Amino acid sequence: MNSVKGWLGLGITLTVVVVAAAAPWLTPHDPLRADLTSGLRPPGSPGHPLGTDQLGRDLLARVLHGARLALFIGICTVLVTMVVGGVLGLVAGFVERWPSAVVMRLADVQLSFPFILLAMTINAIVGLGLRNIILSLSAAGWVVYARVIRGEVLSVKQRDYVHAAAALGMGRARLLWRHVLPNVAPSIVVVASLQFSQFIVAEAAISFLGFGVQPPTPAWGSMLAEGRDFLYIAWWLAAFPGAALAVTALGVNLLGDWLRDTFDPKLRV
Amino acid sequence: MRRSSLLAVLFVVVVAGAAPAQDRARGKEIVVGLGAEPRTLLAVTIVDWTTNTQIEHIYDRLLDRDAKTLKPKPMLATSWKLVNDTTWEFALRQGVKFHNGEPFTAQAVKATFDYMLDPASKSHYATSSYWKPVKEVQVVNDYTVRLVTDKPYPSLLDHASLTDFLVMPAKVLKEPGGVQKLAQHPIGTGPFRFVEWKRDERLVLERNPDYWAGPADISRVTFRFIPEFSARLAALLSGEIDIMKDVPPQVADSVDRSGRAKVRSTVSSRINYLALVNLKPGPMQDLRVRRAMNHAVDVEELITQVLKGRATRVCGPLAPTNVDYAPVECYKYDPERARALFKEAGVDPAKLTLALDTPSGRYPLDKDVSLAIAAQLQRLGITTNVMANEWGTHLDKIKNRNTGDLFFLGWGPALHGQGTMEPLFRADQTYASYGNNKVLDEKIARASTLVDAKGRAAAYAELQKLVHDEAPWVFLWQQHDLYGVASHVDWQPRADEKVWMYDAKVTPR
Repeated sequence: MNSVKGWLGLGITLTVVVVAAAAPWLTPHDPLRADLTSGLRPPGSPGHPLGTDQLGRDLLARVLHGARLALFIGICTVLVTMVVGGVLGLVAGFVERWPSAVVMRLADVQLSFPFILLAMTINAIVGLGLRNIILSLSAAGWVVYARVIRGEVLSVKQRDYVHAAAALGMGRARLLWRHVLPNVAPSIVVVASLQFSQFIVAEAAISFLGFGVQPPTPAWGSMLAEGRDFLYIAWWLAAFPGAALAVTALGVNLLGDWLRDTFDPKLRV
Repeated sequence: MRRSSLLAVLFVVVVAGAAPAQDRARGKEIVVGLGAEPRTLLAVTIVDWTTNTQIEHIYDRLLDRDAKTLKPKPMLATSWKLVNDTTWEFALRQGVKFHNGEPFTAQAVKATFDYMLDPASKSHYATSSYWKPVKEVQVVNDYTVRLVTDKPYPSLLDHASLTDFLVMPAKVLKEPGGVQKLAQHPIGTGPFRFVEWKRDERLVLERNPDYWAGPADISRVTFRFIPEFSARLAALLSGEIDIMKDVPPQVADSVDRSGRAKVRSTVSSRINYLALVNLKPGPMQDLRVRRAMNHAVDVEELITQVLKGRATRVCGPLAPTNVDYAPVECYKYDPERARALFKEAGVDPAKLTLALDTPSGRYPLDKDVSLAIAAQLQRLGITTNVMANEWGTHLDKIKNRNTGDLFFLGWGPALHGQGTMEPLFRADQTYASYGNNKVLDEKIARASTLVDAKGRAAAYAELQKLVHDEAPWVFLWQQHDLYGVASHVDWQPRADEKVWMYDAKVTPR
């Protein structure tokens, strides 16, 4: 644990998590409550440290609650992709033959589309909203797990202790659970941390374009889009959600890099 | 994956209008920045201001309107008279030529009518609120044409002087594939000729040197399509465009101070409203709910706080600019009354979730107004999900009756009663959100045939009262059109919303 970047990443990530969790206690304002008479107050206004938006909603409250939403979407998506991609990867790696072929060809097809485009297309089909954005991101993102984990499984199952356990008559499912899974776990954690920031940024991009989470829910992406209309007179509307997004993505990425270096130096490029 | 954090930073930096200012010749060219592109270049097809304000530069109408009084005046028709209750006769201008050299005669008027009224053309204008009452077009001679209607139709002159009738060349229209040709390369008699249409980017027109009223001062008009206010503003301030539609009220002062452009504003004949859709199942079927909505939305607050006073409240379906206007009492902002009405209707506002469709960038601060309305409804506990649509999608949703319970729309130029009442309050009409009210249907049909001024005034006054009481909309306001006009351009906005570049002049720089 002597990496400055690692500590920085961990620090930022923890801060974001704590701040998001404590959002309702950090600001007395409701992020949805508009007060049309006090619109576009600049940062530093009494009661509104980051100012207010065009509808008089407190920007600090919106940025903080935006953090909750971003983390929520990030965590949910990572969990879903981890389970779906992980199981498919394990099966594909362990049972080779046709399950492997089917899963991997599907993955190849999917990888030939850009991630964000695919996520948006799926989102356009399944419809807007919080649940559907998680669904679309997951549907577009499971491939990475499936591939990484299948690769790991292929190598782990050739190890002597796996052969030994199999020779002693251990069932396939138990083998997978007791001996293979624990050995691919570090990779799962590393991929999760790296995917996490990608999902947060992708969600922001999709919300920025008007898909995804719909107003008035405070999502950083849609806040950026709304703020853009007022860039000339109220820079803070776009600046703070943008900064929050950038810092969060940076923090999680640094943490992910460090985790990767620590757990699995082989993955270093 | 590192790229993702870079992307995030990029978002912050994405200053709208990042496209480099074009190096256009500083000739007598005017670039107009609009929020959307035409939905077609084919004349007399779509009821949509954005489309028609652009293509009317290529075409002429039978009649024009005076910029100040908004009264009909000669254009392609030099005079008109009522032969009997159902027959209008127009004397046509001689010596006018289409851009392809074809002479303009009564045949062109007839061919355009025939094309438009043909059900196969699927024109919005073939409906009863526009030209369906015209049952026959008689060519008396080359320069005299008669329109015979199936009932007295005093609104005919109003429609003839708006973009509801743009005359297309008879020969091209009748040849096989002629309609497709005109859709791709419109040919009219207007002051500008078509040059090119780059989808999603620009429509370019050049001056018609042979225009019958004399060539325009400017040599070229380019309409650029820039959906976001901020991007249009950036383009105006960087000199990329010369005229910007819909300057957000909040930035009007900074435009005036910029030294590059001035804000010119006018009270538009266009009204904005929040439709309470009763053409599909939902809570808006109930009159009490619709009235409650009118008491729940604080229109005055929206005007002062969101639009910074740049709008004039209207309380019924017509605005004072409309010749058939009669005053009605405003619904007062009264949350208690609204609660009581909701209760009476058996609707619990706290459990009510509404969907509101809004365009984004088509009307002044349309999306922000919609969000503010959602915030006001929230005070009663109503959850309103706002859906911001691209303009074309928004219109399609309305046409296909696919919107949420509420949608935001503007209607204009709204200069005569029939032009608002019939298209918006009858279920079979393209943009209607409310209808199937037998009493209203009958009274609208009757009012539109009244020639006598007194009877017509009384009929429309009654209709306005009726519509007000039925609360098909939350009645909002007449928008004030704010245009940003570059300092070297001499052009005044008009209440009928024509962005008419024939009148514009450029001071050479």
